[in-house]
Amino acid sequence: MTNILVVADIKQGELKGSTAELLSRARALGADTAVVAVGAQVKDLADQLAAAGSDTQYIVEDASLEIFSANPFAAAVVKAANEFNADMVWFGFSETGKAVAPRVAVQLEAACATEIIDVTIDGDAVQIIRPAIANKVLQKVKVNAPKLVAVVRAGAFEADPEIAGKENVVALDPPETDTRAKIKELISDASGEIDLTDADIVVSVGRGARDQAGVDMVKDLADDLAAGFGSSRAMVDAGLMAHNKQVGQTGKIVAPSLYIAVGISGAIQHLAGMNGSKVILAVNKDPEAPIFNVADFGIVGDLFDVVPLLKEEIKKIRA
Amino acid sequence: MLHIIVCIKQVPMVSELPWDPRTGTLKRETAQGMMDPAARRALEAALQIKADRTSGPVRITAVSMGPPMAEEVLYEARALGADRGVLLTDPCMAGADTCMTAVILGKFIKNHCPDAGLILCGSMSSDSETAQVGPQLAEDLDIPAIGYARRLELLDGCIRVERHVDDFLELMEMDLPGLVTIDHAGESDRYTPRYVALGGVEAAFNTGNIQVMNRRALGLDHAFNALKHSPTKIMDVYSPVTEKKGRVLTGAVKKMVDTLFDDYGKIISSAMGKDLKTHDHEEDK
Repeated sequence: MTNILVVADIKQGELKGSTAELLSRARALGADTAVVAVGAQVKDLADQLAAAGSDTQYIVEDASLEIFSANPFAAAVVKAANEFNADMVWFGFSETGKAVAPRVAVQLEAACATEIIDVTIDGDAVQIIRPAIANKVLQKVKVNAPKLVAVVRAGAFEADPEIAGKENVVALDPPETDTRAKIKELISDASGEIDLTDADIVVSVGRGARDQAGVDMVKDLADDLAAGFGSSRAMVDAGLMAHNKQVGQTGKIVAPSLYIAVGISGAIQHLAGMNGSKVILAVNKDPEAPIFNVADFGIVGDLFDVVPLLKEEIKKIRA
Repeated sequence: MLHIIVCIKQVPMVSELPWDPRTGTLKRETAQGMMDPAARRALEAALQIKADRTSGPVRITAVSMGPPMAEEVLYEARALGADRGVLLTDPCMAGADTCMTAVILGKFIKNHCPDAGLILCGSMSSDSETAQVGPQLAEDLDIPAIGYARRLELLDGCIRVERHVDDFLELMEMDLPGLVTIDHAGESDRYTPRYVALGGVEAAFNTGNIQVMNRRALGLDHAFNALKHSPTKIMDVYSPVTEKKGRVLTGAVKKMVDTLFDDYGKIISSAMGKDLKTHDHEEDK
């Protein structure tokens, strides 16, 4: 039997969807599941964590964990992994998770793999699949170690709503605070905004929107849809969008149920950040734009003509 | 004297990746190599620290683990201003995964750069995209690390790091020795790499010698075998089938939008968490 420990993805006190996705996949693999929640106030999430599909909930709660810091976070995860005798530790995708996972791997003397999209267990043989080179290739990787620490790519697994675990809360002592690397100041870039990486719908804007007025129009469409609002790299470079809105290989990787690309041509780096989306709609003037190669439905047209009509139709749905 | 170690990977030039159209695989052996873009930014960060007079004297060692051809990126690093280039290469290092790469780099730093104060890496290479070597190296050396940095400032005995992660702007301070990985370009793009004239690289090739170290020089155990000891091993690399045969419409905008909502109205409304009410085309009736 394989023991899989999932690291709960908690942002601003809220449990993110990736946790249930990872737990569903772990159970589908026939594994025993546990989850570890690390933070200043995570005890109250125990029932949600059980409902997400874990049979044991390790809770590491301490005021010092209010602000994320890699070393104590890694220490907390290692403690839970040892307690559970975990064969695998899975993180949902986040930049912080990606920074912690390799440290956990070294401490557990485990293999480490980031951005994985699948795992297979065949007796003792474990293999993972991960994309590389801006999604141009997939790598099949054999794990040559008794343990694996992995960061799962956004949208790789689906949550099974039928699955539920049982509540079995185990409180662990908090780790020592890190005195070597300290956060002096923390400024939220995204307060009150819809989290791009967790949204059901993402609307992204590209160079086709030309200027601030164009961006505002597409933002309105996103708001009407209650969607996360992202952009291509070009818009960030042009100063029209904030860096944390960039979807792509070097930005956010998203995989919503519905992705709407407006005025985005679809450079390979952008596609690498969104082509795991379930349904992709694209609006672009250029019929040759590469975004149409990944789109389920494409409209060749000027976004300034198309977006107002889209808004009208969406208004009808909202009514 | 602050000794900065910059870890540099040679990667295939993605825009010129030669593909074998019959097998759909990458012909990596014929790919042209280049300095990993994120590592180039890490080197730029080191060069800017060195150029800043308030930092005091700074010495930069550029190090790469890789096949003999990886020497090229070290000549380039020398031409850009690194004081020393060291190539760690040995047949027994071939096939090293991120963990073994960190062990090899760690061995070099522990045995040959005991005075290292700051270690800089790119946050993620453009080919494998694992983002693992930096944090694993820090863990191996038992030093603190900060990932995804956008801006560095040297203070007395510590370094101030600005970074953007998961929708937060963080200002951190870290004791030295420590490791920082430099992120990809952001809006306040401080570490846009400088370019070196071709003549400069040529001059570096002529004068700047690169120190080559094998297993023995490095002090690795004689039984060291990266391929065997790597906890992960790539078995296969293949091209994913990603192209969809989607529907792409041209023509009258109103008609296209109507067709869109006929085909995808249900999906759109369910993603919005709404039931699709009857969708009428007035003009169709």
